[in-house]
Amino acid sequence: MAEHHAILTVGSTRFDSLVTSFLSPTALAILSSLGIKTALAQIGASELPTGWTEGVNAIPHGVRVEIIRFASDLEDRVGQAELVVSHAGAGSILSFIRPTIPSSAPQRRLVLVPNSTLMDSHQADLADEFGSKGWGTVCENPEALSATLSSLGKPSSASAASYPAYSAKKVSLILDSTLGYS
Amino acid sequence: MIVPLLLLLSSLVLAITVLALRLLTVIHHTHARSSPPPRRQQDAPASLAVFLGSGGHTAEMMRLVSGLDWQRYSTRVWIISSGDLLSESKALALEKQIGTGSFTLLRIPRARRVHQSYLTSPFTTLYSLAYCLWHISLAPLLASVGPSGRRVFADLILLNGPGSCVPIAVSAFLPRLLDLPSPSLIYIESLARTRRLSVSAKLVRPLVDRFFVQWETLRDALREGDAKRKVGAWRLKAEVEWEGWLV
Repeated sequence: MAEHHAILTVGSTRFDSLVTSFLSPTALAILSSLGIKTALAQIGASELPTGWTEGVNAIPHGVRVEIIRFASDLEDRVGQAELVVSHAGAGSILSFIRPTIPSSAPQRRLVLVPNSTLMDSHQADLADEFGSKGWGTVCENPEALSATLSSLGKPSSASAASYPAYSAKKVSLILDSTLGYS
Repeated sequence: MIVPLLLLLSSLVLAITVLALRLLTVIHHTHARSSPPPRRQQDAPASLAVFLGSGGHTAEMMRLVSGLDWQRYSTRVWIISSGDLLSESKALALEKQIGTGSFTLLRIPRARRVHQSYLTSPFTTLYSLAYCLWHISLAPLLASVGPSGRRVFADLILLNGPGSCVPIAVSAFLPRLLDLPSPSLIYIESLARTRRLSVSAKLVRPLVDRFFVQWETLRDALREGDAKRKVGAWRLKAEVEWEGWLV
């Protein structure tokens, strides 16, 4: 399941242009050339381009595409995927970098596409930060997704990105000290 | 005819002035406090309210609370925007895992949906505020005492946005104007905010006891801004804190 699997995720919002780009023949052909066999497109409140329906779609360009709006186990699935194309929302990014179930993919890749249509937009800032640290590949413009995907190339043997580790103790300490447990 | 009208008007002005001064004083005292909070017994239980603000906010919050000592935080309130079934199922799943203590769900009317215009949002926000005022400020005063022997909604409320957390912060802060016990408030800004604060963070910062951001650069920028805009000795915003990523 996890291997050779790509996921598009737009979180709980709407990102029509990214959905359209991801489902374009060009993008799917590139995914196929990267060795991707199956793809899941989580489209939230987005509009589907014509010819596509929710559920499993026919096999264009060798990639089997499943389309869903939301899924309660989305976090697990994003955590396991080999390639994730995501809007630059914190929730989706966290699903990728802190997998709930360890992924079997030897190298996992994250492509971030900032959604600039959201009010009080900040997604470009977060994407920039991840891009500059080498934690993900930034695609500034959804229309350029195919170009970004084709520049990914084959997985290299470079070591996995090192994100700051999660420490459950930090939040505990904050809460405890606020309430006077010393 | 004119005299009673003038009297009414001047008393209204006076009342608003007194209220505003009281608000400023209480906000100042919230942030000027230098002594640590009163010590609690290690084994004393506490009640914790957590707001799951939907989407990415819920995702971050679930990670924030994932390492808490549930023997200590034995009473939980999960605050959820009405209709946010995904957050509700996450809260219920976590409670199933915790399996100890007790919990309740509080569903509040939505303040503003993503993409909703800022024009209509004041009205939905007002309704949301009225609901929160009742459940968070007023009802606890009439109810029986909580686990720590105080008539409060919760000992601590954890918030991380979005806009719908503002009415919660306001309602939780309000009892302080009357010197009544009130929940401690912690706001943790989203990991998504690397350079600028969200609107909700700016709005709640005067009201919360502790205010965290997750990027050092953002902390430094805020501190710099605060130093520039300092007005006399008044402290009207929580000091910005940074402990690295918390999610």
